Amino acid sequence: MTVALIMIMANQIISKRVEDVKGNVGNTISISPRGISGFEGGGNLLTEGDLKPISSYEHVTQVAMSLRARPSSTGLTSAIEPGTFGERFGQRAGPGGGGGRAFVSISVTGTNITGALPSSSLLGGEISLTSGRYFEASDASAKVAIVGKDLAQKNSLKIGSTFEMEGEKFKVVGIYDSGALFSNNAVYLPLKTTQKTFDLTNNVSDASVTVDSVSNVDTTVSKIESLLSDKADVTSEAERFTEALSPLESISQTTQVAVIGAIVAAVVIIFFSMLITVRQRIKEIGILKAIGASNFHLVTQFVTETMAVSLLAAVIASALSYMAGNAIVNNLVQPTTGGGRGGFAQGAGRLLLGLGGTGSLQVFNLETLAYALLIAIVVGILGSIIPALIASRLKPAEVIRLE
Amino acid sequence: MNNAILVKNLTKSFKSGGKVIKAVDGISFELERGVFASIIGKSGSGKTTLLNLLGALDKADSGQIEIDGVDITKLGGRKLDGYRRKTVGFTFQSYNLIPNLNALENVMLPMEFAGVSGRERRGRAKELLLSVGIDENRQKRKPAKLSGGEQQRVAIARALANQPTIILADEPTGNLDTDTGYKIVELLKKIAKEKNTTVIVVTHDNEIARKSQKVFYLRDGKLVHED
Repeated sequence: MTVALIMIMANQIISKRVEDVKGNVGNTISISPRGISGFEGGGNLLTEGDLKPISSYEHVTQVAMSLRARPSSTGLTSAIEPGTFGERFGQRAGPGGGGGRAFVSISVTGTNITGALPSSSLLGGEISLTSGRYFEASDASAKVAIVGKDLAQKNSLKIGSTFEMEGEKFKVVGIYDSGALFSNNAVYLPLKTTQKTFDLTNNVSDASVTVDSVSNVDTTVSKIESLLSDKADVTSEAERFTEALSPLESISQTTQVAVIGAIVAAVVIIFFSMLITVRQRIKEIGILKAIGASNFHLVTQFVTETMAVSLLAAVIASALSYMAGNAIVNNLVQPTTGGGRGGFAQGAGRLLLGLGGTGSLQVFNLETLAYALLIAIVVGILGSIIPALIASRLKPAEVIRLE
Repeated sequence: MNNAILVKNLTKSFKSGGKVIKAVDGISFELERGVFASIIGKSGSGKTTLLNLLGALDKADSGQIEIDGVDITKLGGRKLDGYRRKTVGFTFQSYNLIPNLNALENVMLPMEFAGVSGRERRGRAKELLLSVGIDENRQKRKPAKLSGGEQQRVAIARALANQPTIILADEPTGNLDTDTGYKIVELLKKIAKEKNTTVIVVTHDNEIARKSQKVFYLRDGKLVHED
């Protein structure tokens, strides 16, 4: 029973973690206009109208649309010096771009996301706000900006400061840090504001679609591909993550098999021990029938006795699982360092725990207790009903004289 | 209707070592209510088999057993359980008390099967035990802590638990010394008389037979004589 419970706990925790992981990694789909990457390439931008149907697809939780632009005139100074790399490949100010001083342009991204900033493959890094706030719904077409830490520093921008770009004035509402200088040399604006400022009404340069689980990425990709056909390239990393998760799912299945195995073993053990009990108590059964016990009384008595034992086992198993289960499951799911073998399990464990982020897993819960009781009842009934029926069919006269 | 028990052409055979043994071979008799009767015969004469058939602990091959006008050989399942529970009370040579229950609980058990409430069970069991001579102190003892005679008294109290009209006693004195045995017989006689309960005792003790109002002599499964 303890084995079954621990396996159930392992199964619960793994399944839960697998679902968490599925809902957190590899579940985004990138859409970019065909032939365009960043500021390179050629072709047409997408429009909001092109992407609109996606938000109503099943499993889609978010459609983050971005419009990237480079300002042609701004009061801001780039935080990045051209250096030798910039001298060789960078843009040059001046007519025709042929002469003049080299500079590193400031990147502007319009976003329809509120309450966060979109993670950008172009800018890279984990983006977090160091001061101020994210965009809100009411900022939709307001002249507000969230600027990178280094850009803000270079231009002495603070929350509430204003700067000029494309002949418009923008107010700084937030300052972010992405951990990388390149991506900190950028400005985020609300999508509509960007479209208006750069005269790209309704245009979107790329989009990121989030679905609820990595398992649903493929179907969503197909739908988007058929929607946008030759307008866009649709890519995801789902396959890579699905492969990474498959060994974990097989652990989950193994634990399920172990649970079933443990229950079957328990039923068989109880069944045979009850048969032995019936043989040992055959005379008592005869006596009870002789003094008026009905078959119902006998079956009830046997089932009740077995249930009592079975429930006691459930209590002991629950106590053991509560005390030892967490340690065992943690070891099962997160092997400690060492050992060449089991590399995958280690990786899997790290992946799970890394994403769970809570360290030790508290796995014994009410659900486990409910399983314990359920197993006890099922095992008790299955293991006792047949011996009880055999007992109830005995003729008292045949058994009562046995010594 | 005076005949509490009416037996007609009752037969029961067993197979033993490839041979068919007629343990009860066409027995017929009748018995009035409240009579203290004994069935006497040698070992293997079929007396216990006859008693088991009367108590519905076994099923007859043919014949009838009418108890208060009802043929119990035609009953099945629940009605037969009910007959064992309410109409007859059984006692055995080796007492057959439930070893892990004390004397009081043993007497309460048949009442529990009959659905008597807990309080009433306890009260009635105490009364019955006192009436057969088991005092309150001994009522709390497990069978192993009681003498043979005391155990048989508890078994008699248990047989009386659901106020049966018939008591069937299989060799009730077989494991007891003569003196204790006779006391048990006197107790059973008293029950027959005071409670108007038919008592049938299986024995091979002629002294008990002599004290009975009616005696059935069995030999090789046949009723050879009655008086």
